[in-house]
Amino acid sequence: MKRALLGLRSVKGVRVALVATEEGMLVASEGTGAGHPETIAALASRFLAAARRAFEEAGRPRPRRADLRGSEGRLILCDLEGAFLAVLVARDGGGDLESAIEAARTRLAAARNMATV
Amino acid sequence: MGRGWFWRWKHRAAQRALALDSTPERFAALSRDLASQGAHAEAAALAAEGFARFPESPELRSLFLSARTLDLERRRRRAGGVARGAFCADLVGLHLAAGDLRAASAVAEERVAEAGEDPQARLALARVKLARFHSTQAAGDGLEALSLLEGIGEGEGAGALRLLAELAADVGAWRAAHLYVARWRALAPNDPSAMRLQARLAAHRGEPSPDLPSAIRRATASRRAGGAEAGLAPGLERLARSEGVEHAAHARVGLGAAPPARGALAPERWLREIAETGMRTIVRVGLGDPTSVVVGGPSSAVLVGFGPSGAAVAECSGFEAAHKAEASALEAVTGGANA
Repeated sequence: MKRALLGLRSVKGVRVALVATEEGMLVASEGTGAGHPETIAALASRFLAAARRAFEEAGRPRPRRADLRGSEGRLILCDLEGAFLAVLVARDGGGDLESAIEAARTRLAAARNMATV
Repeated sequence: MGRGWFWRWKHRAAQRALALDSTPERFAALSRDLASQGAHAEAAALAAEGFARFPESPELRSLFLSARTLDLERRRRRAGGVARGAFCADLVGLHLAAGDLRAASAVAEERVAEAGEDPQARLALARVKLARFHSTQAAGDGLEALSLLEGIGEGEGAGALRLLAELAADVGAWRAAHLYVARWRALAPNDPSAMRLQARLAAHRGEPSPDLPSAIRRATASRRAGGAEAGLAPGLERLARSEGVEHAAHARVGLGAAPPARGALAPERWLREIAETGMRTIVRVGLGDPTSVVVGGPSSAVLVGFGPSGAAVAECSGFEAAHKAEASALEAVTGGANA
């Protein structure tokens, strides 16, 4: 899990990468700066819960990813079934972000499978 | 009533014609006929029915008003002078129902000048101020209504508390709304409107809440900004035509913002919720001014673009399509400034 998060942290502009449970409990995190990981985890969990509820109410499939953009940066959230990955990126960030997120998701899914075996 | 056979025959023929083909003209003719024969209550009822079905007809509107006014006046005469307060309150309600704010205001102001601190007079005037507040978005009217309503004691019934609770909920003063609705329910525990409002407010428990006067001022400013909504239509149309966008709408978002818009441009509740929660999350995480939210999966996604005039909300066929339409969503609410 740590390696997956460190891989994300190495991408230009990534300030925080974390994994938290659906309820917003922080599992692991890398990086600091723009916000406290616990706070990001809690706020992101609330947003995802509201989005899931809204999608369900409208009869739409469960949302898998969310990108929230502001004038100072971006928060990317990926569903990990029971948990989620959050990546906080500064305004000037980017680079290989998409492939790094995909790699981190694969690693986290593998780590999770190993943990449940 | 001493009506002759010819009148009865004519009246039945007119009723049959109305049942076969209801037009504003037929409603008006039959109502006038009834009034001319002294059947004022029937004339008022028919005019009311006609006005409800054809609210655009000026003739039915005027007949409805005059028939109801005559009916009220007769009841007042029967009840004597003490019933003047109730008569004025009814008359104000009548003018408001007919959309005549000026007439409602004249009656209510006159009654307050006459009766001073009479709670019924204050309540009637507060109703007029609130109707004007909703129509013109002038904060002064909302604040005057607040001051009138706050001066009415609970011993005068639940009317004032109901208006206060509704006003507070409308402008996003959640804490005040909770308090007023609790007091309203204490006076009228089985009132379904109070129960419904309390249930609606439960969703906002714990949210930041300005005091009621500040919320009125803030909501007024937000609604005025939303007044440019009509000008958003071309931008939304372009967004709706983008590849993978299923439909687009405009939402006024923010704490204490205007109540949900109705009509062709208004989004569904679930879409508005995503826009509002997304906006709050962006601000609280410290990402600066909200720009956009894309949330969903490969087969369904929601895109929200934020701008000074609210949010453009679009339902898309998938996450990728939503990302591609992001620039159009921003353009729809910023006129290209942020896109």
